[in-house]
Amino acid sequence: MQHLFNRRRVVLACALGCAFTLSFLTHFAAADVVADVWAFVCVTAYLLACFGMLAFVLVRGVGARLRRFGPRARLV
Amino acid sequence: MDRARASSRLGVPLLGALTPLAIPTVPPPVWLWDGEVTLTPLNARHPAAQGSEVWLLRARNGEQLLPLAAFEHDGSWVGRDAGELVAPSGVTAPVRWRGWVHGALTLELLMHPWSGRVQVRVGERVEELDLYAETARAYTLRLTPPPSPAVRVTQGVLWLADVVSGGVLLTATLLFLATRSPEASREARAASPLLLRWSVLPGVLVWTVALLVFFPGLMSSDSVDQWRQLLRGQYHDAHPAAHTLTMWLITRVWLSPAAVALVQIGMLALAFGIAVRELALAGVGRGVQGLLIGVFALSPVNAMMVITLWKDIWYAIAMLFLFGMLLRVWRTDGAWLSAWQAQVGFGVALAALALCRHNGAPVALLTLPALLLVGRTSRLRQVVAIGSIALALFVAVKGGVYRLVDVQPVPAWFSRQMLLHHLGAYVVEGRLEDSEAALAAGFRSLEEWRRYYSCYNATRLLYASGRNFAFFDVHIADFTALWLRLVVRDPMVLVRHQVCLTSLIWRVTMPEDGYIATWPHKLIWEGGRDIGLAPASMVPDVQRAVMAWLTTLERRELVWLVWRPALPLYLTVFSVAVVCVRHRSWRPAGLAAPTAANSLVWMLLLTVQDARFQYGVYVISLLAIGLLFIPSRRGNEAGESISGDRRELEGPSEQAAGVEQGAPQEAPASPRI
Repeated sequence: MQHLFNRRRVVLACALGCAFTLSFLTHFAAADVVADVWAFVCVTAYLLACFGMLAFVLVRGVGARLRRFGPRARLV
Repeated sequence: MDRARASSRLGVPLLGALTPLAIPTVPPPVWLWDGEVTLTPLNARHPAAQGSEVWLLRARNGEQLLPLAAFEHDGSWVGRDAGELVAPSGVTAPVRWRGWVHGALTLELLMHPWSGRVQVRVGERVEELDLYAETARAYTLRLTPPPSPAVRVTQGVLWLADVVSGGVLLTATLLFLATRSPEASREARAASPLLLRWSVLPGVLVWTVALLVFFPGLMSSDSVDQWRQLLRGQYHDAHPAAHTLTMWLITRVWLSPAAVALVQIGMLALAFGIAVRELALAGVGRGVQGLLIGVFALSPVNAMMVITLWKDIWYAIAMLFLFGMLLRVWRTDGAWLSAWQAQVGFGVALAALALCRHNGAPVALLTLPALLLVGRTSRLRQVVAIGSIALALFVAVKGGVYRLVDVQPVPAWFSRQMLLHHLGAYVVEGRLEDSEAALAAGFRSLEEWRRYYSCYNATRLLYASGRNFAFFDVHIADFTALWLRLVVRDPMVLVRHQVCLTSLIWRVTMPEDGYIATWPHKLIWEGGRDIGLAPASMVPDVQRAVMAWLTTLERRELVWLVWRPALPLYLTVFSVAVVCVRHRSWRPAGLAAPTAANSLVWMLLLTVQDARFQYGVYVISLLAIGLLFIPSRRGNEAGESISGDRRELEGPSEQAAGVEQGAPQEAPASPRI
């Protein structure tokens, strides 16, 4: 459990989640949500949660895949 | 730190930094601002204008239409039947609007021969516009307040977010795809000429229906000019005469544009079928093959291009043949290249590339060395033999056939169109000294240089009335020296011009002020009526419906996906990168050679925004997706196994390497990356 939720991975996932949310808002959703402040806040919070979780899964997956290219992967 | 981690630390920021270039970060919207806009007619006009009117056609507040009745004036502006607001010639009284703006305030003004100059003031910012145009069209003015420091900071944050998102997502996708192991097709070895037939049929069927809908084919002014040449038997090389002569040869059987379109359909289908068969032999499954066949046959771009009488179509077909043959060389580790059929095939394809378009020769030259990279057992003498065959064919056609039918060479100005386009940028930015300006004025007046220059398109600069090609041809050395002097003195002008111009190649989304030319919307250019060329659809009702659908595909929100060639370019590069990483080898990188060479050459020679220039890149990209489904061959590579993940990384690829009879069965010792 501790390995799964290590602090570095959580911080990285949070930062990535923020980046994904901002990119999504600017490229896809800005025109629809900016008219109403509360809608904007709610949609942003929802996106942050979704993209944060996606980022967490992605960080785990990428880390595992990267290890396959590392020198230790060649040891039998 | 291991190499993989170091590569990812370098690769993520690099891919991330490239993302906002291909898909620029949207500027942060100014959501609400107190807008005050004033339009003041200046009662001044362009020398060619017949009046100084100012027409306000429409206004929008954000996405909402703004009634023009909300604009205040002293009564000298006149309301017209369709709701437009017009300041007749001689009026100088302003029209004003003030209120809260959601996002941007958009004004549509009319440009036509009776329009004059107008001053537009937004807050403290003042801009003057000349609305004169030879033919009527709307001019859209999008007004937003100047960005404040807070907006600039927001823009920086959004850009950074795009860099991070793009970098991480692209790297993650590449890693996931490169480390998965697609199931090798059991039918790989059984891929037979029958497959070739099945992969060819859907395309032939769909495109023949398209030909009937747009009978007898599509022809632009270029195509009509070539048709006129083949009817008269008098040829010039402005449109490569090799292509015109090919059309002449085809029309000996049936003198109709449809005959040429039918041959194009057959050739494209054949090139596609060969490439699909190669993918099948490399282990791509039947499901993926079916998907590729379906997408290729149903692509609206293919349907419209293959029935258009353009040299670009033959050029694209030659590129696709090259891609298919490169794939075969890679699959057989270069063994196939020792066969004489392979050398002749490559030679003919490269010669066709060089003969079908004037930019084709450098593309062929850049593609040729890729053979050494792609095939492990490729030898320099084989590449030299292929180059010799291509050169012999090229010289035989250019020197022999052209002389036989007395082909007129291209005038000097024709091959220096880019130079004139570049000079336009320097004239518009006011970088010419007096003596240099005098030389430029010999081609056309400086006022015309400024009026006709557009960084996206050199057509008006080159062809609008008032130009003097004879003067340019006489002073060609002076113009070349001037161009060189300006480039050395102020290279940034050229850089800005090229960045704008080449956005067709590398930018996924369409620039706000940009455009893209797709298929001939007039079906057959009206200049061909006197030689009997006119549209004659077999099903006019269907044609109308299809044209309406095609028009929707050219809307800004869709055109990047359907027509703009940057996405296909990146798709091919990405697919090839995945194969390289999956196989831990640089060899597959050579598969991208035709795509990369064509894009590189156009980066230097482009003068307009025509999608057809990159049509070859488009057709290859649809097949390059198939590369993602080729199983890894690394199981064959000694000392390369990865114990823990061996099964997942390598899969059942040994038997699926798809080496045909006669091809080497031993492990390829590809250079690792």
